[in-house]
Amino acid sequence: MNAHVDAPAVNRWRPLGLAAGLVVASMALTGLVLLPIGINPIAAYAQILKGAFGSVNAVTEDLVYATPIILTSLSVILAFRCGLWNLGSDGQLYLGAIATVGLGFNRFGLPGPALLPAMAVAAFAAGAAWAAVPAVLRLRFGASEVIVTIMMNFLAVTIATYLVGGPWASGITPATAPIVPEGFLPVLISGTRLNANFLVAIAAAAILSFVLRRTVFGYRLRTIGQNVDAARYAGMPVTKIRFLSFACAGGLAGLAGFGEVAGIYHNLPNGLSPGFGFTGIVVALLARLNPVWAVIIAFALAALNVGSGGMQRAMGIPVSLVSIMEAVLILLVLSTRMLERRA
Amino acid sequence: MTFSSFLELSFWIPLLAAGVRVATPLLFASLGEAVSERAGVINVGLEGMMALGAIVGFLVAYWTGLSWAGLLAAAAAGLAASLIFGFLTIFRGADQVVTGIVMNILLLGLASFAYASIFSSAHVVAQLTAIPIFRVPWLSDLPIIGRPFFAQSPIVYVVYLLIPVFWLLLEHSQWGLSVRAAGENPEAVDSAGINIWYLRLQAVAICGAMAGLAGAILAVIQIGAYVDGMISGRGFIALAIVVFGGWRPWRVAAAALLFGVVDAFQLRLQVSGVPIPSPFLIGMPYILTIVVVAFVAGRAGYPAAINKAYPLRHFSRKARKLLPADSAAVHPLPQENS
Amino acid sequence: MNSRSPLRHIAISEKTSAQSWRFEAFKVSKSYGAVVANDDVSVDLKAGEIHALLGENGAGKSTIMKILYGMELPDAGHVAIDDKVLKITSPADAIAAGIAMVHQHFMLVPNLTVLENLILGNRRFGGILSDRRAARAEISALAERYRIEVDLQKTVSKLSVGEQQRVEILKALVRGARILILDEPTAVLTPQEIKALGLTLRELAQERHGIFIVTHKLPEAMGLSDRVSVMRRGRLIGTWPTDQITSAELVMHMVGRSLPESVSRPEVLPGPTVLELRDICIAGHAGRTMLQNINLEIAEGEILGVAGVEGNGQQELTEAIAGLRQVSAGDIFLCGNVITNSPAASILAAGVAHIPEDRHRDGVVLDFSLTDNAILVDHQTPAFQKRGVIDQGAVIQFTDRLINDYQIRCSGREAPMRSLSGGNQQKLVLGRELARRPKMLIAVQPTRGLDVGAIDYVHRQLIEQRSAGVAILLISTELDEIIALSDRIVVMREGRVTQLPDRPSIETIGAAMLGSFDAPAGAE
Repeated sequence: MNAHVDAPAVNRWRPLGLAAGLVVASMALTGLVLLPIGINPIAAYAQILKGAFGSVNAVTEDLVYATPIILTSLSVILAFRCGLWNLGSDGQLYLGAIATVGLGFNRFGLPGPALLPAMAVAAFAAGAAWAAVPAVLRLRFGASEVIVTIMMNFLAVTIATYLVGGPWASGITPATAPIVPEGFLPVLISGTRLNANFLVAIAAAAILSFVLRRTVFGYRLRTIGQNVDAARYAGMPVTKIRFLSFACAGGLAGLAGFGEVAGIYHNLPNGLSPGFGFTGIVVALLARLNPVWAVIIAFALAALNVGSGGMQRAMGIPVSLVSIMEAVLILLVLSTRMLERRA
Repeated sequence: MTFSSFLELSFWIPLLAAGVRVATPLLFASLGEAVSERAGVINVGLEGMMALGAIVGFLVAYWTGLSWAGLLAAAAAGLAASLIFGFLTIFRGADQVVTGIVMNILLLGLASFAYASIFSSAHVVAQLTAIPIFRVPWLSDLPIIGRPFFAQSPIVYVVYLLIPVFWLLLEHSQWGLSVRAAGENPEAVDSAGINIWYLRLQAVAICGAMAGLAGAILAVIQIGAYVDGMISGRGFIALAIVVFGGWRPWRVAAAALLFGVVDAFQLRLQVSGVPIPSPFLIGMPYILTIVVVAFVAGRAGYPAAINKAYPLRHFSRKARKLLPADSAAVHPLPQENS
Repeated sequence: MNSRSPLRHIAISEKTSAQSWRFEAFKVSKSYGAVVANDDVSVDLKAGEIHALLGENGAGKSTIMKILYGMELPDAGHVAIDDKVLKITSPADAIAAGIAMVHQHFMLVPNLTVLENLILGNRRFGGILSDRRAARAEISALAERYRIEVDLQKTVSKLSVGEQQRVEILKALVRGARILILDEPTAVLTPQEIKALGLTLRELAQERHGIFIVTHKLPEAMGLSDRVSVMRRGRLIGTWPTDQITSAELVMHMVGRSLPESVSRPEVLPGPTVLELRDICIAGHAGRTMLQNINLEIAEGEILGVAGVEGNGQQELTEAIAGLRQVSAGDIFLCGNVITNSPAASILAAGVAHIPEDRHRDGVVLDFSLTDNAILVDHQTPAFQKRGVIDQGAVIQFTDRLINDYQIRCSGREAPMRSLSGGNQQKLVLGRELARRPKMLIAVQPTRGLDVGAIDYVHRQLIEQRSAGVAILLISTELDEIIALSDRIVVMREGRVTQLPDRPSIETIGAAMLGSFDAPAGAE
């Protein structure tokens, strides 16, 4: 069978047009849930836009919100590219946050300039260690990482809640005592909450993109994700690379926790993550597992989330509208089979 | 609480009774999931479907005052959600895990949205009246097992009936045979003249209805209220129970009971104020799930065709037009005596 | 009386053995995207005949048969019985019309019993609840009637391939099929099992069943059929009564030109031993052994051919040599160095190249570009990377060289592997492996699924490597290929190797495949 192999000339703009159409359709479908409670969807969406882009501060808030979800989406992408599901970035984020706070009290007397890097490293290591558990169980025993990572999320929240309410309690707010000021991440634009972890997230995306496309490690990782048998045949150390990727995926999520503590709260509050992990999955899927696109999509979804906060304050509409919209969008994409190829 | 109290029946009997109670929704969800997985479709969206069942069941029971209406509505809602899931995974070839996770995001969001927008103004938590337990005459007087198993809410007796029903359906019926074959070799099912896609959709629909019921049992019958996040991983625990139970209804029931008892045990310890840090107590069901998945599931064989969509036959419009107009146009070969 | 009895239709068919019908596919066309699988194909089948459909891989034989069975739908044309058009849009329709298909990959569910497989989807044995006792009685009677020996209680996964095929044929009969379509029924059978299958089919034909046999093997088409049709590149070339056409003519029709002279093998004096296996054993599940005391030696410039029916340990053997499977006893030497249970990477680095049996599973990554596939094995070598970063320029240069040297037809080096034909994919694998300048080449089914031109090309490359002093382990189920290329031949059966004398005949090899080499074959 000598088939014609020339790729048909595809209109470059068609995918973009389709994407725009799907976004509009998902907004329309999501709008349906607003009708029974007597709210005009267009008014609600206008409020979202206003909340997301209405002021300079709003835009910086979008970037603030984008920071952790860039990192959690990179975490999902890194694991998925070698064929594993990391649904545990929320838990890994919590562990990163716990490590950051633990070190941030600076009971070890670390010198001032060394504290921040130490906190970042600790957060990365803690996230990686938390991810190592499902990785080992999957790679050594064949346990479904989908179930284990979810369970690890619940465990992480339980531990965080325990620390906040018990050993590290501040006694005033539902949060731990604050970390020392040397452990605060520098703010990029004064008067806003936008901090240096945003740059860390951007750098992480760039590095991951380079690693995947240009390095031997990335090549092996992609091969394993696409065809494990071929990778084994070619003599690649499959288990080792999968373990490393999964652990690094946990580390990236841990860095998200580091940023939330050192850059925003300066302590560990109850309910630190409003579902950054799952938003990360949404971002990874919509970005089709491409780290560069993940940054762009993360920003869009962050704006949506920030804007919906404004909508809630102005109109009393619950913010969970946003997760409905995100999910509807992916389901529409799935039904048009845009996600089929993940190279 | 002293160590010796662990040795007394007065500790174990109420514990077992609570375990049966906790296991009931888990079992509903896992029986449904077992059917779906056996047909080759893993429904990771169980958690979301339970949440949907919880909110729908709660709302309908709250408005009508009838808990059975709540349960029915929840089953219908779960079924509807599973049809969306089934359409995407069976008919559009979408990845089952991706779709399941997105269904979770959608349905958890929807449940939370519905509750928040309906009860946002009310400051009191809406409560349903409790369903009285029903003592089965004679059986509830049996020593040891009488109280835990036969002095329960009526829904528990429904689940006792459902276990053998699912067992018969899955392991001893012609339909169950097709379902099991669909999970192992879908092409063989297609080749045998069975509509493999419709068959899988049926299995997924059963799973969705059971998950909806499971959520409603939790909200309407056991707690009497809806709380955001009330499912708290039970959907995923049910996934683990299915694996632990080896996809067979009786074993799945036993596995669910084990999880129920462990959860009840953990709750009891919390109340009794033993000096164990709370993460170890609250986390006990999660840790048990991880242990089970790691040390049992690794060796268990998932159905071979799980998460593999069976491609649709290509129907071009042109091809359809070529077919004879009368739909009963299959003329068997002359093998009959006429 | 009992209207469900399958014995009824047999009784009738015996009474009405003069009864005739004609089943046909009329002007059927079918394409998948740009690939035309069937172009205006018309074939027919009459009661009581065996009709062989002959053609190369990819000639469109399976497609037309799948259309007859409702697993594919035609873009044009129709299926009819006695000029009455049938509406066949699913296997269910086909079954209702009395058509059954035995697929190349058997449609059995491995973890169900034979009985369960036979009643799967069969409404006669119950809509929701199944009536197993009645089913067992009926099926046993039917099996006895056709002398098909099979244990209904056994789990299918425990059956041999030949037994599984018998279950498939029984399945067709249980459904009362009058038309049987067998897709490559002999691919996995030994010569003797093929003979037995022929007898069963002849008996069915005598009872006025009609049988289509799809095959790419000429001798079997000649030996089993009453009529033979040839397909090439999606078209039907012609249909002839089997006794009125010669093999040579059929080959001409199949390939469009005469088969090339079998490749000439220049004399090469074998050099020192490159690969040696000493008492290699591999333990399987449940105390079984997959490989038992394998002893092999291959020298420089020598091709060792391993014949045998698929699944007799060939895969385990290659995996053991390539370091993809743990050996439980024995030693493997490569140029005198022990490589037993070394990691695959170090064995590859030591000079072993491997053309895997299942190209799509092991040999290529279908969604990767040609460039990414070109460095699958050698991505680690200094030629393609510096300090962990891949040298894109070198990779592009290398890929272009492969495309040029091996005449790989593709839309460019960035095209996904998936878009290439099987032959061109295999050329890339071959080129990639040969570019590694191996001392030892393992070639497993190197021509599977390729067209004649590509097969010829691969054979020439292997001979060229032999001349260059490479030791080659050739594993193939195609006896012709083994005989044409090998310097020495061994046979694998049930995890053991049988050494054969020099230049063995086909009969000798066949006997060794059946395990009756010492007590010569043909004894029945």
